[in-house]
Amino acid sequence: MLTTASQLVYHKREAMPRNLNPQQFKSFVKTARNMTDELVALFDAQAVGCWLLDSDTTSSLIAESLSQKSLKTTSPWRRQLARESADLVSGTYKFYISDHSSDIIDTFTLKSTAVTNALVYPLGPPTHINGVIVILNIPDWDNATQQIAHYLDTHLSQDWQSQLQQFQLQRQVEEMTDQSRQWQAIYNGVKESIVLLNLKGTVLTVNPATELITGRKADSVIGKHVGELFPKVGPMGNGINYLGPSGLYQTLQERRPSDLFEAIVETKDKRHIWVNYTYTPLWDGNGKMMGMVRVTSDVSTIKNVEQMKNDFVSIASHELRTPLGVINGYLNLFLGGQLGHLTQDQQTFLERIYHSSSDMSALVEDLLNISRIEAGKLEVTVQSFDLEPLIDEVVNHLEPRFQSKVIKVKLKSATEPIRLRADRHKLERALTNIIDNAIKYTYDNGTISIVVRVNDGQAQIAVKDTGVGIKPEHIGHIFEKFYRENNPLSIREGGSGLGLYISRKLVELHGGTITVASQHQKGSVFTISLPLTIKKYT
Amino acid sequence: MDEPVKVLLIEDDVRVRELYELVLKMDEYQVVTAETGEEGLEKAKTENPDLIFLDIRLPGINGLEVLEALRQDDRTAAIPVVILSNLDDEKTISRGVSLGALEYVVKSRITPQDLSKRVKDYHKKPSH
Repeated sequence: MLTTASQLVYHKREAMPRNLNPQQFKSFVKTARNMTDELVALFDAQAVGCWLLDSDTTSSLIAESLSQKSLKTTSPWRRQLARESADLVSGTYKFYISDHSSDIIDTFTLKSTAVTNALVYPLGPPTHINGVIVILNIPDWDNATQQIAHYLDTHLSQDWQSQLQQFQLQRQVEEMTDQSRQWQAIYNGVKESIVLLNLKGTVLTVNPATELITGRKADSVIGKHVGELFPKVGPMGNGINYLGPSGLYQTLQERRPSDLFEAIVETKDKRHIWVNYTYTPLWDGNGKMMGMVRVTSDVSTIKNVEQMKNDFVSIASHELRTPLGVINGYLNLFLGGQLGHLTQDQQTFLERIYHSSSDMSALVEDLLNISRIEAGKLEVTVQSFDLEPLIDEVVNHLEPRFQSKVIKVKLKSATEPIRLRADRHKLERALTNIIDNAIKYTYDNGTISIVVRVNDGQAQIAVKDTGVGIKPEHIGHIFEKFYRENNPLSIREGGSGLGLYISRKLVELHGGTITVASQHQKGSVFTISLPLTIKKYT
Repeated sequence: MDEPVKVLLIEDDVRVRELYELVLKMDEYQVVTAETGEEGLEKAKTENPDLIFLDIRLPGINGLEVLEALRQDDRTAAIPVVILSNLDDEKTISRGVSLGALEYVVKSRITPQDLSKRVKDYHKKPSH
C-alpha cells in the first residue's frame, strides 16, 4: 500500500524565507508529491523521497515528500538521508547509483530497514544543490537505473527547475539585504571617517563620522577636493614639512594602498586635531581603478598624552643643558691647565669625568632632537647642494675617530656629480650617525667603504664596514629607540642607542629610506636612499 | 694705557654666570653681571660696557625685549650685543639677528674659553 507523506518542513524557524509566497511553496510540494508517487509506481521502488534543501546549508529542509510502499521511516532518519544524499552528490554533481555491494549503502544509517540499493539524483544548478531525489530498493536494478535517469531528466520540468532557482535567488537577495543592512550599519556607525573619492581626489560621498570629525556637512564638501575636507596645518602653521610622496600620490600614481599617515588638520571651527589616515584604491570587476577610499581617524586623545610625555622630555632635556654646560665648562678649564697644575692621576680621572659628561650632553641633544621629531616640530630647510662634498665633510669631521682605531676609509663616487634638494644639516647628521656607527662596530685595522651612485631615480649612499655585523634576530630592531644588542663592542663604545632611530627619521622626512644588510662577524652595509626630486601632491 | 675691555653679562642662572665671569676675568676682561633683563638695561646705561652678552630666557622681560630696548635708547644703541642662549629654533635666532644682535651663539655648542677668545673680535672700541 502506497503512503505518501509530503509537507512543508522547516528545520529551523529562521530558515523560513520571509518574502516567501506560500502558494509557490505549496506548488513545489504538490509537484514533488506527484513525482514521488509516480516514481514508486513506475519503477516499483520501495520508497522515493524528494527533498528541497536550504541553499547555504544542506541541513535545513525546506520541503519534502516521501512515498513509500512499506518502508518504516522515522522523521530523523529521513532528514539524515536527505542530508547525506545531498552531500554525496554536491561535490560531483552526478547522480549516485549503488547496489548492495557498495559501501554507499552504509552511509545511509537506516533503522530497521534493509536497503539494498539506492539512486540519488541532485536537484538545482551544479553550483548550488538545492534538493535531492532518493529512490530506494528498486527491483530489476540493472535495467531500471537508466530508465529512471531518463525519466528524471525529462520530467523534472523546466518550470519547476526555474521556480526552484527563483526561490534560491530570493533567498540570496534576502541575505544580501541583510548584509547590506549590516554594511549600512557599519558605515553609519563607526567613528572613523570614510570618504569615497574619484580618481581626481574629489569627494563623492562621506559617512556621518566625517562630519563629526571635521565639522563640515556632507553637502558642503561633496564635489570638492579631499584637501579641502581635511586641510593640513603643520605645527608651525606652515603646512607640510614632510618632503616625501603624500598618501594621495601613493595611491593615485602608484595604484596601491597608501602608508599610514599622521597629520594635523583644521576643522570647520578652526580647531587643530591630530588624525591618522590611509588611502585605498577601489577596483572594478575588470581590474581597472575606479576610485579611492580614504579612512581617517581622530587620534587627538592619544596624541595629547603623547604630547604631554614629549613636552616633558623636551623641557627636561632643555633644563639639563644648562647644568651640563657648567660642568663641561669647569672640566675644560681643569683639563686645559687653566686652573693650575694637575697630577697625572688628577688629569686621568678628570678626563674620565669629562667623557661621562660628554656622553650625557650627547644624550640630551639626541633626546631633544627626538622630541622635536615626534612633535612634528622638526623644521626642514630645503637647499640645493652637491652630495659628494657633504660626504667628504662628514668623513673629514670623523677623521680623529678613524685614526684612533686605525680604520681605512674608501670613497667611491658616482660617475657624475649628484645634486640634491634637501635639508643639508639634517642629512649631515644622518650620515654622521651612520658612518660613526660603522666605526663603532668595526675592529681596529678594519675598512669602511662608502659607495655613492644613482639608482632608479634615487641617490644611494652605501656605507659598508668589515666589522662585527649584526645577528639576524637583532636586524629588525636596530632602528628602534634605545635598542642596543648585547654586544661587547657596543657596551664599550657607549652611545645612547638613539643614533640610528634619528637617522632613519631624518631620512624618511625626505621621503627616503635606510636599509641594512649584515652578516654576523663579517660586516654590515647601511644604504641610504634619497629621491632626487621632491614630489609634492596634496 | 688701555682700559680693560668691560663686558656686561646678562644671565639669570647663577652657576652659568659664575663660570663665564671666571673665564672672562682669567682673560683679563672686566666683568659686570645682571640677573634680570631690567637690571641689565640699567647697568647698560650706568656702566657703559664695551660688549654685552645677553641670554634670552630671563625672568621678567626676555632677552629679545631687552635687545629691542637697548636699540631704542640712544645711550645704549651702539653697544655691540652677542646673544648667548640655549634656545636654537629658527624663529628666535632670526628675530635676534634682525633686532641687531652681532651674533647668536648657542651656549651648548661653544666653550666659555672659545667665547672669551672671540671678545676681541666682537668689541670695537668706538672711535672718538
